[in-house]
Amino acid sequence: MSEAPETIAFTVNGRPVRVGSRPLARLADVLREELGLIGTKVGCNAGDCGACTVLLDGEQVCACLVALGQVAGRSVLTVEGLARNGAFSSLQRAFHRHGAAQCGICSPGMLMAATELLSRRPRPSEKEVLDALGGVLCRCTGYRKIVHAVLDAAPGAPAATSRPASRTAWTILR
Amino acid sequence: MGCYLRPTELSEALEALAAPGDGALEIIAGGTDFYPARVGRAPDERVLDITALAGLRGIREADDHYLIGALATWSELMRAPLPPCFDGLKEAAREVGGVQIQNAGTICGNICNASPAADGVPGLLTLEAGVEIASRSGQRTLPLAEFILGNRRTRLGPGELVTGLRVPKPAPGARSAFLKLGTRAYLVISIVMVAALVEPTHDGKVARARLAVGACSPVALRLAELEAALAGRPLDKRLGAVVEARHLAALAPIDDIRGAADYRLDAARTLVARALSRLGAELGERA
Repeated sequence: MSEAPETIAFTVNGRPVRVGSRPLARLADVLREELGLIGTKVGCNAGDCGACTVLLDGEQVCACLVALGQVAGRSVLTVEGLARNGAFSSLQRAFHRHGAAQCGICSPGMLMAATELLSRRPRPSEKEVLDALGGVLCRCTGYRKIVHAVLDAAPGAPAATSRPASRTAWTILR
Repeated sequence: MGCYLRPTELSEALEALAAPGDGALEIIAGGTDFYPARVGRAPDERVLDITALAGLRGIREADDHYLIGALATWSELMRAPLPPCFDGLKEAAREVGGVQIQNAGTICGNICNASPAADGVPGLLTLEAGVEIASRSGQRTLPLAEFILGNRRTRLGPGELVTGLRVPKPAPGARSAFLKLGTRAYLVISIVMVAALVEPTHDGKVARARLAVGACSPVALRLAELEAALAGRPLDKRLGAVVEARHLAALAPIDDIRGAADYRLDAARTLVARALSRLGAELGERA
């Protein structure tokens, strides 16, 4: 029987970490409270808002729903891991260019969801962006600038503006 | 006092379930129902984490059925190469929560949690899925309709673990649809959901239709009277016109924060008709 070990080892943003074994601790709490990575936000602790979205082995998950015991040996990417050597990713620069944050509480979740999308679809359609980001709620921006930022994130992508988006794409948000 | 077990062999898991010692073991896979039920408190239960049981992964095809392993996630189902009879279930997978939930949550966890609004149940009912259950003393298979008893109650007994869902292969040419009504496009619990599966005759008529409505009763229900009324009808975009209010009489929707009972019945009737007309049009074009 695989008993829980005394520590659990995994990688965060490319660096190996080891934390005391509390296998049922939520990954979101471990990231924030034991590893000091407070970029991952906790909105609901119930998987209903996406503020805690991180990438686990490259796939977006709600960190509030991940048991620490399931993370051993795996790789976690948080918002702190997007910039390299002090330089923002092209997605982060696009958010800045488009003014895609107001209070910013959803921004880490949005950035992580979009990072996963762009890693497999460098030039997504508007519908693909909405589907990928659908699990992160924003109460401030109305989503438009966030979506435009993601559409404009690929190097060389046609610049999106803040003019009204296509009717069909936005109907599904109502 | 809690404990946490994460075995790598099914036999170890079944041994632990058979002799839990200080109390029943709570089973966890994707955690998408486990943690929301424990907001505001640290879990202190005795927990069996099944995510290291490699044999429960994957979706496999056999001669006369498909097997959806207990650890198959919604995302894996969406990516699996499956015939059109699974399109409805894939649509349900696409509309569960958001991508984060789809990547972690399992279809078998969804049916074991047995919410009346469980997104997988209507589609699986139309696919006539069987629930494969293992224990230390052996295995059994129960039709899904018998497995779920009501609101968050199933026939899973002490010492038992769901190992997969067995879906018999329907007739060739069968097509399916799924419609979900909610207040948003994502991150929403259904007000009403409808799953439909239609098997065509060679001459453009309904050979068999299967319909299930969820979130309108303690457990999703097949509409047997409507299914009978559809047999032999021509496959075209007017197939939905067969639906009458009396066909939904078996449903028992409630008033809750998401909708009133009469609204649910009205919406259910609309969605059933819409699903049938869509399938009628799709299958009619191929006749």
